[in-house]
Amino acid sequence: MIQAHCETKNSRNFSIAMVWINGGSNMDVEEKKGINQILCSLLTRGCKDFDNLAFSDYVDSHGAELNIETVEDGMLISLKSLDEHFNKLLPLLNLIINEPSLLNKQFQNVKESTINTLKKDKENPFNITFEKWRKIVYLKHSYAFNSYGYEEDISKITHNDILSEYENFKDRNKYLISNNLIIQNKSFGLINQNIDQNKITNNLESKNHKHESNILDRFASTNQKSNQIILMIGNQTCPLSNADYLPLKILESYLSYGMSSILFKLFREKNGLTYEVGVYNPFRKENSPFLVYLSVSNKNALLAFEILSQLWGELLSSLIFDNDIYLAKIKLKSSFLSSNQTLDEILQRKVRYLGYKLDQNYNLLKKIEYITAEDILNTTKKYLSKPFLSIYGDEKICNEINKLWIKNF
Amino acid sequence: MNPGEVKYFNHSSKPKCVFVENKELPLVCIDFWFKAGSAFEESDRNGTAHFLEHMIFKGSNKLMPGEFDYKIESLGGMSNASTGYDDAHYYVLIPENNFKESLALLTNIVFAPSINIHEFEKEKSVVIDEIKQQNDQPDEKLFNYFLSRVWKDNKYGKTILGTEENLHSLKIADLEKFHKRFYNNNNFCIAIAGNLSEKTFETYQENNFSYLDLEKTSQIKNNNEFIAVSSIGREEINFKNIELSRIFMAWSIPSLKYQKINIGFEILASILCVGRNSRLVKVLKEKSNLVESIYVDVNAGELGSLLVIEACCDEINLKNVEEEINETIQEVISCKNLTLNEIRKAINIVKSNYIFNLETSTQLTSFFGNELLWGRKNSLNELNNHLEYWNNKKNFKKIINYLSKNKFTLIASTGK
Repeated sequence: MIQAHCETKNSRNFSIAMVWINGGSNMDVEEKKGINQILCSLLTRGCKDFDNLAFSDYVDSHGAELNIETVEDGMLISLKSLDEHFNKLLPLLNLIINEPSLLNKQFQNVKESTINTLKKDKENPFNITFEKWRKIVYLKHSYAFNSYGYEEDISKITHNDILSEYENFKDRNKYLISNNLIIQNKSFGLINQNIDQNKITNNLESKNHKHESNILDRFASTNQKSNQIILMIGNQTCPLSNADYLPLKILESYLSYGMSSILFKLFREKNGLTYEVGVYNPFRKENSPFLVYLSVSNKNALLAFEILSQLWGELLSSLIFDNDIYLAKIKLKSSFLSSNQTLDEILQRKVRYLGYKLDQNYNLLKKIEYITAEDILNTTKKYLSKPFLSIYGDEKICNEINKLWIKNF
Repeated sequence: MNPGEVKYFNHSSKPKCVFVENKELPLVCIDFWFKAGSAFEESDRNGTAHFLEHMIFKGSNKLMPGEFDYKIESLGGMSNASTGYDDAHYYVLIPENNFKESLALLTNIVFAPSINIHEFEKEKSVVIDEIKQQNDQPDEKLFNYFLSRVWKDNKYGKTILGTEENLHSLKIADLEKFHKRFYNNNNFCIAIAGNLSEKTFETYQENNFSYLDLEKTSQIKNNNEFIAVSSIGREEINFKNIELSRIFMAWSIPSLKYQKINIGFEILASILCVGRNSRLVKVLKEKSNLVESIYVDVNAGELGSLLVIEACCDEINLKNVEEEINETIQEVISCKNLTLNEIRKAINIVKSNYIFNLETSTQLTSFFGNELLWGRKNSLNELNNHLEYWNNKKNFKKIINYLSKNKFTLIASTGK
């Protein structure tokens, strides 16, 4: 395991140790989608001398938090406790990674819980719309799939599958980071480094932004009676490490950061059409999604879509004004300061950078002043000329939007 | 517990203010707090407090609509606001070197709003969209329904956003009246946290607060003496668009004025539901996997609070889950197997939570601003004493006894 110490302010009275494991739901095989999420959950449900409840009791007795998460590119295990207890709790990370019990009883429990969580997720129309969107954008690539998996896949996963997946897990590179100097004195005699594993070896199976996809293949609709229409439009773009990522972040800032952003001004201030509007552009090891989302009442949905189409056309044909770029850059820098407020955010970003083979102090903004309106226009054209649209809501309105989609895009 | 150096400013010529100085924070938060939540609305004017919060950002006697946002964001800052049942607050998060201008801008926009009919009608449409969106989220819609049933009066039982019908009936005069009545020095305080300097204090003292009639009084009045009362009984409903059924249970508990007691309930909530060994999680998830999720929360308010249990489960398990919850509660009431260790563990969890959640400038102004507004100045200092008080089985039984009182139960089925 690669270890890194991160110097931060010392007045917090608590510490965090975080482990990033390269390989999350992107390691799920066909028909076993969700297996890595189940494996990750199982890691903390008993290890070496602790059964499930004894383990939990030990953590809770110290008022600590142990959180686990499986995302597309990896797994994140985070231990947070008051400084006075940190020394006693840190060795748990070693145990859960290297000596988990992975008992069948616990496996069945996690499996059932996962199925229930997936059912509950379906209550949220935003989840449903996004599920469809990523399916049409990423096709067979792992980013097309929910990290939690799918009910039909989960029900097929066996305890033996989990044990085999753990063997695979052992070969994945792991990175430990903490603000507490104590980690430098601990020996984590863990798993061998698998140097090649970090390289991006899986070429994307869908490079849709380069393909001339049919307009109908770039559209998905979920018809459900509801008060609102949800719209999600965008495409896959590039990895965090790509030079295009920064112009896209400036574009995101221009579009959606704060109440001076173009989406806020256009949809809320000028036309009073929507409450919820924004951009989703998380950083990923491979091609990040970049999508504009909004929800709008049924009666305003067509007008909102026309305005969105027009905005999209302008983004692809006109340079953003210099003063708007200037403001977008200020807001982007300010958002980085804001995301440096919590230890959790700081460490999570750094440890993921390490996992992506970047320096933990990688400065995305280093070249911000050099990015021009032309750079942003070129990047927008490169990735967003053939966007993908997923909509949710009343069937009749969705059909009308489909007609406008064909006309405008 | 050391979130930073806390100083209170209490001078008759300026609003009350709490400063939290922490040199290591990258941004400064300026947070204006008002006793002006939805509980203060007239009964037929639901939605006023929240709608006013939206309109505050739509221009003032000095700023055009959108100008405040542009200026704050050009200064490298961001702004936001939130309205609750009890209070509303407006904050900006900015680099310290732009403190002076940001404070002046926030003061102007909050105290001298200018509501024009064009902006009013547009923003009404936005808020109606917000209501529609809330109604499309079954979780939120159901919880609002639960609150409407559990609170007998309509102070906490109505939604903060109001209904579409409420919004349609609101006039500019309603917002102006609410602003005039509650956005004044009697109901107001400021919290400022972050990398502060001597200059920050000087700038604060120089800021123009002339919009406020400071001569009237500098004391924050506790002008809402109403005590909220919750329902008891049991109700079963079918609820559309949910995939899993829900069980809600609520006990009426003392308001936030009784801080020590509320902390006692936070400890009880941990005993019941934090960690796999907690009473309810152990029975309902670890042993039987009867629920998708189970939560226990102290729904705290200035007029009254609730201890709420929420379980989410398959329709087929509804009866079992309700029985198991009731049985577990009976065990707690009878103190069966309740040990000092169990209480201590929960105390550690509550203590850590306080420390974990006082990390950022915004968290600090939220905590200290809210406390100052409602007259709980030394609550963080007293926290350790309160926790120590409950670290005693005999004392803790006072909290447990509340569970013996009648509760309200809502069962929401999927109808499938």
